[in-house]
Amino acid sequence: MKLTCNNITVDFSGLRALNKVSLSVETKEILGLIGPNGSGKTTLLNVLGGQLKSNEGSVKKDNLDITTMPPRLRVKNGLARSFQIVRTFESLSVFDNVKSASLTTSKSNVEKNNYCNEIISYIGLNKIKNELANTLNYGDRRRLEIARAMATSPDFLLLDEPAAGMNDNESEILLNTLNVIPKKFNVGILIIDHDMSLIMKLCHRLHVLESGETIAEGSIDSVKKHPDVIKAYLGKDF
Amino acid sequence: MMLQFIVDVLSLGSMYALFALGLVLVYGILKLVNFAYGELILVIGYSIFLLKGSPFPWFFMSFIAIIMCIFTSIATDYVAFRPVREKSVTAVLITSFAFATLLQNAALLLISAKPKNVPMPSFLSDSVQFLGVITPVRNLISIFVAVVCLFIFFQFMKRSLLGLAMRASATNFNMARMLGIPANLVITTAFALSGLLAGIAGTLWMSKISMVFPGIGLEPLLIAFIATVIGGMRSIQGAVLGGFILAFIDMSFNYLLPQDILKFRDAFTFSFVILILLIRPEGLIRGPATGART
Repeated sequence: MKLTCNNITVDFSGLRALNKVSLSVETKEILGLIGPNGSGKTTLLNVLGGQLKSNEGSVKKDNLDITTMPPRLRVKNGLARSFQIVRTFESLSVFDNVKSASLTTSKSNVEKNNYCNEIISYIGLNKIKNELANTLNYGDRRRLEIARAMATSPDFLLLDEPAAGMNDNESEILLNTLNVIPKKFNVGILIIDHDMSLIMKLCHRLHVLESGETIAEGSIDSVKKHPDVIKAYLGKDF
Repeated sequence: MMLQFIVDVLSLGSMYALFALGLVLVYGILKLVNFAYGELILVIGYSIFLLKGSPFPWFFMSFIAIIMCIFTSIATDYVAFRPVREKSVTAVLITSFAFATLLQNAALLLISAKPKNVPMPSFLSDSVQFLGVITPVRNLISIFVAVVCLFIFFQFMKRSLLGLAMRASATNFNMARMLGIPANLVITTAFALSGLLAGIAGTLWMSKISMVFPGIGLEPLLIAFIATVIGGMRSIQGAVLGGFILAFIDMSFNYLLPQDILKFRDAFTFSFVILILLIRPEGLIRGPATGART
C-alpha cells in the first residue's frame, strides 16, 4: 500500500507554510521527514492526519482520495499518528489507553485484548500496563502514544518527534522498537525527529523540507551529501 | 442514635449521589453543565401523575416514567446541545436553560401551576425498626437501589467497551475523536445514562415528597450541582462522594440546629460548602488535568 500527497500547499493567513510538497510512503518502509524548525514538517503531518486542511493538493491512500476526510475516518482507513505534545488519556491505565484506540477496529473483544497486549509487550510497557498514564515518565508516555497509535491497526504510522526529550538510552530502545514495526506489523512509518543519529539509523529514505519547500529527497547517503541540506540543516560536520 | 444518623445520611446521600452522577456524566464529556437536568425530576413526577388513572401496577408506571426520563435527556441533547455544541459555550448555557423553561411552562400550561399528588405505594412509608433505628422502608430501598446502581454503573464504565470509550472521551474528547471513537454515540450514551440515573433518583425523590409542581426541578439541580462541585466536577467518583458529603452536612445540621433556626439550614449548608471550596477549589477529587473544554 502507498500513502501519497501531491502538491500540498498550506497558507497561514498570508504565510506560506508549505509550498507544493509531494511525498509518498509505502508499507514496510520508514521515511524520515527532516528540516529546520518552522520548515513545515508538523504542518505536513497535520495535513496527512487530517488535523489541518491544505489549501491545495491532495492526499491519497492507494487510489482512495482522503483529502477531505476527517481524522477519525482516516484512522479507520489505516492512518494513525502520534503528537509532538503527548496526548495520552491521563486518568486511564496504560492498557485502557491502548485499548481505547482499538475500539473502532473490526476485531472481537477477545482479539482486541490479545492484540493490545501484544503491542504493549512489544513496545515494552508490559510492566506498567496497569499504571495510570499520568504517573508515567516522559519516555514511557511517548512510547504509550506509539502503542496507542499501533492499536488502531494502521497501515501507516505518522510519528511527530517520538524521541523528543528522551535520553540516549531511551532513544536507543525506541530505535530498536521502531526498526521492527514495519515488517512485523506490515506498516509504513513517516517519522519527524531532530535526533539525527536515530533518523540516520532508522530510516530507509529521507525527505528534507526548508521554509515549506522540498529541498532534497532520496536515500540517506544522497541526502547527507546534498549541498542544500548541509547548508540548511545538517551543517558541515555531519 | 449514631446508627439512626448513619442510616439517615446514607439514604439521603444515595439519592444525592445518583443525582450528581447523572449531572457529572454529561459534564465530564462535554464540559458543559446541563441546566435542564433538574427538569428530569419534573418529567418523572408528571409521568407518574398522568399514569395515575391507568390500570398498571405502580412499578410499571415508574418504569415508564424512567423511560420517559431517558428520552427527555436524549432530547435535551438533540434540542439544546447538538445544534449549537460546536459553536459557542454561552449558546449552550442559554439553550439548556431555555429547554428547562420550555418543559416547566409546558407543565404549567397543560397541567397546572398547583402541586399535584403523585401516587406512591403505601408500603414505602411504613416504618421499620431494627437495632434501635426507626426509618421508613423507602430509606432502606434508597440505599439498596443506590448501591446496586452504583455497582452496575462503575462495572459498566470499567469493563464495557462503551464505558472505556466514555472514559477516554471524558479525559480528552478531541483525542478520542481522532482515534475514531464515535463522538455522537458516546454523547448520546452519556445523556441516556444521565437520564436513567436522574430517573431512578427522581423516583426515590418522589417517594419522599409525593407531589409534583412545575418548579420542582430547581432543588434537585442545585443539589446535584453542589454535590459535584464539592466532589470535583471532573470525576465520577467525586460526584458520588460529593453526594454523600452533602447529605452528611445536611443531616448534621438537621440534628444539631435548634428547631427555630432549622428553616435556615440551607444557609448553613451553603456556608459550609463555600468553606470547602475555599480550601479545595477544585473539589475533593481531582480529575484529569486535561479537563478544560477545548
